[in-house]
Amino acid sequence: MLPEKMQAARLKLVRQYPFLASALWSVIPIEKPGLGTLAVDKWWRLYFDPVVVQKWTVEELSAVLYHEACHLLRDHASRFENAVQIVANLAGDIEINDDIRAEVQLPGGAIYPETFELPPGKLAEEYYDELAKRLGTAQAGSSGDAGGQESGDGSSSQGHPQQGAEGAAEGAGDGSKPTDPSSSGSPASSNPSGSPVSGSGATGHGDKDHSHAPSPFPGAGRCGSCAHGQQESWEEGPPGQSKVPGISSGEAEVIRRKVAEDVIRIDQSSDDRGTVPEHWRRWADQKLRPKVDWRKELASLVRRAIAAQSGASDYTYRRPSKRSPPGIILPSLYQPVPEVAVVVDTSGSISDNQIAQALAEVAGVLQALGYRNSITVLSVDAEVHTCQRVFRPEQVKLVGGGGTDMGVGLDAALRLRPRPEVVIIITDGLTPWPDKPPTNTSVVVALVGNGQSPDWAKTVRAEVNQ
Amino acid sequence: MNSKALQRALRAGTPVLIWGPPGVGKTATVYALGRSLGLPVESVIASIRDPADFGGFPVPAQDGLRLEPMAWAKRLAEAGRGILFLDEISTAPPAVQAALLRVVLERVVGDLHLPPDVKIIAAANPPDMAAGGWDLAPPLANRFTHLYWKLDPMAWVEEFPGYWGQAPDVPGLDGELWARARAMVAAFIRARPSLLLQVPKSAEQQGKAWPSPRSWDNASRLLASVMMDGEEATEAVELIAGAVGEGPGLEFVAWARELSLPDPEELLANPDSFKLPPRGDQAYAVLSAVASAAVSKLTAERWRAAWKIMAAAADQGAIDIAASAVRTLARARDRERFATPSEARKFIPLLQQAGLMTVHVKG
Repeated sequence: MLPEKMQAARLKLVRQYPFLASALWSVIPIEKPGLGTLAVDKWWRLYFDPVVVQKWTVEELSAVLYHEACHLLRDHASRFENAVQIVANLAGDIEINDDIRAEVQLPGGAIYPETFELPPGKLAEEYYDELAKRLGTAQAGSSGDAGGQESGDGSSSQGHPQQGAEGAAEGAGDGSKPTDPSSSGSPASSNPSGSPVSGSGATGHGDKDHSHAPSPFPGAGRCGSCAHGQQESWEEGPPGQSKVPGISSGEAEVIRRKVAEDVIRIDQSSDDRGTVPEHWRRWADQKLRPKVDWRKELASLVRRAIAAQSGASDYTYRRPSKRSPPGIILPSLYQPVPEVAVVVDTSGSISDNQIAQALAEVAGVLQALGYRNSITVLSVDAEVHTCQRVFRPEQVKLVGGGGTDMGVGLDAALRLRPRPEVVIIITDGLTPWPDKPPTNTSVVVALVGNGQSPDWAKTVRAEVNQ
Repeated sequence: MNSKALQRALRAGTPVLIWGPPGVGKTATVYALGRSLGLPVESVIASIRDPADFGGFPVPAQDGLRLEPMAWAKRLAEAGRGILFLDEISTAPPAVQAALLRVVLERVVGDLHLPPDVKIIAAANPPDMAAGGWDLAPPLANRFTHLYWKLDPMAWVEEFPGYWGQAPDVPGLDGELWARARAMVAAFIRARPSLLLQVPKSAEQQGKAWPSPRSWDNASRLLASVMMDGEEATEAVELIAGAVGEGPGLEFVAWARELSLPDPEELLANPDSFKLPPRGDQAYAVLSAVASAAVSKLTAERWRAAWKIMAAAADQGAIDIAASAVRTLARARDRERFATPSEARKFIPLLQQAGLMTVHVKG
């Protein structure tokens, strides 16, 4: 049974943000005397130390719950599956606290981007990479990268070979000592002016905080496996292997979706149930309408265009099949390798940097498809300026800068010999287009900016920086 | 296209070409038609055949070359009747399409003439969804009557639970549970017909899981397989999302979860039957549904019943969840007509502690 203060904190939070109801009521509370804090595991179990609950106000408890709910809903556990535990926790905390600081009263000890002299508004993965770099844990990428030797063992951060990570772990609260809360001090932000993490910085704060801030705050690198996906020593096992029920990853996804739908519903309703913070709107939007990565989409379109052309295999009796059984003559299959040309819009309205990014993607796809040889690149604005065969995108000389007519570029590409079967056009789309598609040639358009492409071309919007 | 049009075209003896996205049941329809007409169906995937499969294999014979037909053609000739189903015809290489010309128009395979009572049906995916390759060559295209597949979700919902007449045998899968899973899928599609078929717009997504009649059929099998282990639909979310895509999969599971919750009207009629659902979010869903239902048609009896249920939830360990649903009751219009029941006092300390005691409970 949850202490009344915790119940009140949760109730308060549900009133403040009704869209969180499905998530907050799903959390399974577990009393853990001696834990020294409040933490959540990746199976949505809420561990709380009754002593700590007594110490914090309802407002603070509610803020902490809010913070933990953010970990769960943002799915930090699987985003940082193979990451270094403590760094992942810090990175996730920074991401969350940066978003929610204006909404709730976080207890002292919470960390923010500026605590580490990092810019606000970034993703946890970006904070992670930066923190990991500073701590010298270069081998540890974010989720899915090479940091896989971190096991699910809660004490792993202690045994980590990197001094930096260990230092940070001590400073920011190491989850492996639940019975001795004072051993893990509250971290940096009680001294927000402190030096950015550089191996020993965080440890220093830990020592300092030891005396006057005995309760480690979960928003400071000690949130349980909901923040980094690795089971802590004091956590219960997975639902199947433990007596305590938990929320499976599938169920969690159902709940996230429900919350996202509620965010949108409440945001669009006109009643007085409170406003929805911008970061939730963004999150829900991403959850319900996941954006397709334009790089993948471009790769997919180019691959398909080339496959459609090279899939144009046909049979010939010129050289009968070697597999013909005796007495029967079978035709053999031949498969032409399609020619590819790239038309680049070099008109004034598009920056060289944008072109370079899109071109690099195109080159990458072609290389992956086995185009070891050169590809033909045409620089076109209203007329064709250069036509080069290049091996690497850096070799392309972009010449032009006038008005735009991609029809001219397409025509020029089609006059090349051998005639290309696939033409890839990189443009901002602020150009006239031919009315009809070329015959027997697939056209893929990588649109940089807000212009238009014709219906007959396969188009991907390339979201590149200026 | 409906199957009546298809039957009439077949009766007229014209070859038919069915256009439609993958997974909508083109093949299944042709087989069902064969069953209902009592015709054997020979299905040949044109895109993976070579020209000799239709033109016949050149075999040296005493008096020159013989063109030997494939076994399927011989079977049709022997039966004297049947349906020749040429699948994925639009992606067949040109030489294969050329070889098909004679089959489709002159009904000749190699040196073998197909009997007049053999009907020819072909199927093709629209070019933007075809697995690479060619469009249909004009001479071949012109030989067919082109019918365009139109999926009617409501007709599908009617037929899906009954397997279109005949349940296929899936060894190892519990037939009874599969039937239950199919009924659930059908009920879900009835509620959300747009989710029956959604071909993704993005090329990348087309290569992944997306909802179609075929993938919903797979989802029903997967759900049955999970149910065989005594699990709920929630446990199947990964598999179902793997069959029909993440969005539709999650929506299905969320819908299935709500199915298992008690009806608020029944609870209001019989408040003593209330039992707190084990999961907090389900408890919240039930309690807020009870509160909304009570408020929507407020009578003294329903008012008392709703409070009784809230109190029972509090006693069963969910006072905070009940307290958040109580708000709906406490803000109901016309509440002054009814006395605030003694149960309401239970919630006062908690609401005060949460700083939410804007509700003035009298009495």
